[in-house]
Amino acid sequence: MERLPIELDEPVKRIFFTIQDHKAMPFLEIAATTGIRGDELEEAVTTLAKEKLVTVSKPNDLFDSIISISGKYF
Amino acid sequence: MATIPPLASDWLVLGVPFILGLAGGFQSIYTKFGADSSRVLTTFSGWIYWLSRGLVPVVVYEIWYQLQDPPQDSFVAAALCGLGSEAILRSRFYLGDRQQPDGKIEEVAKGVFDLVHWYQALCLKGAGDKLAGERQAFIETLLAGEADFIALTGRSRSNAGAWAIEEDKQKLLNLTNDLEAKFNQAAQGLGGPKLDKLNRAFILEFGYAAMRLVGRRSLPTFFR
Repeated sequence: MERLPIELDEPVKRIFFTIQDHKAMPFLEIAATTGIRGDELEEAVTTLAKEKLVTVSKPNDLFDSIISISGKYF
Repeated sequence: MATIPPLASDWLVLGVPFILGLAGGFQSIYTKFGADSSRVLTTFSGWIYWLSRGLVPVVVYEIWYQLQDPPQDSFVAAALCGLGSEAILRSRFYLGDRQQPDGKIEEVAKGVFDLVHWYQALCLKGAGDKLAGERQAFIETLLAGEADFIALTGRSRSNAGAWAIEEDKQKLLNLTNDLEAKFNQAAQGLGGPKLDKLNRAFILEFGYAAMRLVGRRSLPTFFR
């Protein structure tokens, strides 16, 4: 598997691997799968998107977005 | 006028590499999507990927067939083309070691598999997005009329009684109780639009979590 370009905190890493496992997930499905929700989930997904590890379908409306793994880590 | 040479004297023979290619393609889809693999084949990009993987060994066989003089079909050659092209498509060659900034040694390997991986990402990423969009649309439609999370958990707790298998019933009740406790904790001191947003988030999260436990078909019974 392609190495991650940065060291991620444990919850962020868990979210990344969950998305990688599912390939793409609605934002709140990530909460249902990982148990990480609210601000912590928003911050984690924003970090992953900033590092180009995931893509967000509606960057201005995270709550209603589909979060998908970037092609490199598919 | 130039005539197009026949692709095979026995068309059945083309089925051998095609089926082997399809099997290899489906195995790749299964590796990526697991239980959702059959749903991938309901998407256009998933179909394109699967069919194209079936066609690769057919093209290899066709090249071998046309190179013969006179062209002659062979089931053995067809099977070898199917298996051989699958082996080549999965190949990577070791080029050396590379030290990472953290000191770890990583193997560097390149091969046709990198091209297949790129093609998989191109076709199957779209399929993954579409499946996620379908799950989102399903949950949002099912729970569109819900605005009060506690009212929903109250109803769902009663509906869980409909599950014949005790283990499934218990899982649903545990999920309901767990999310209700977390909602009550998060809702303390909230009101107005913030509470509405929290209600909506927990309602949809409850939907996705329950779908993982009981599947789509049983979900309307749980939430009715």
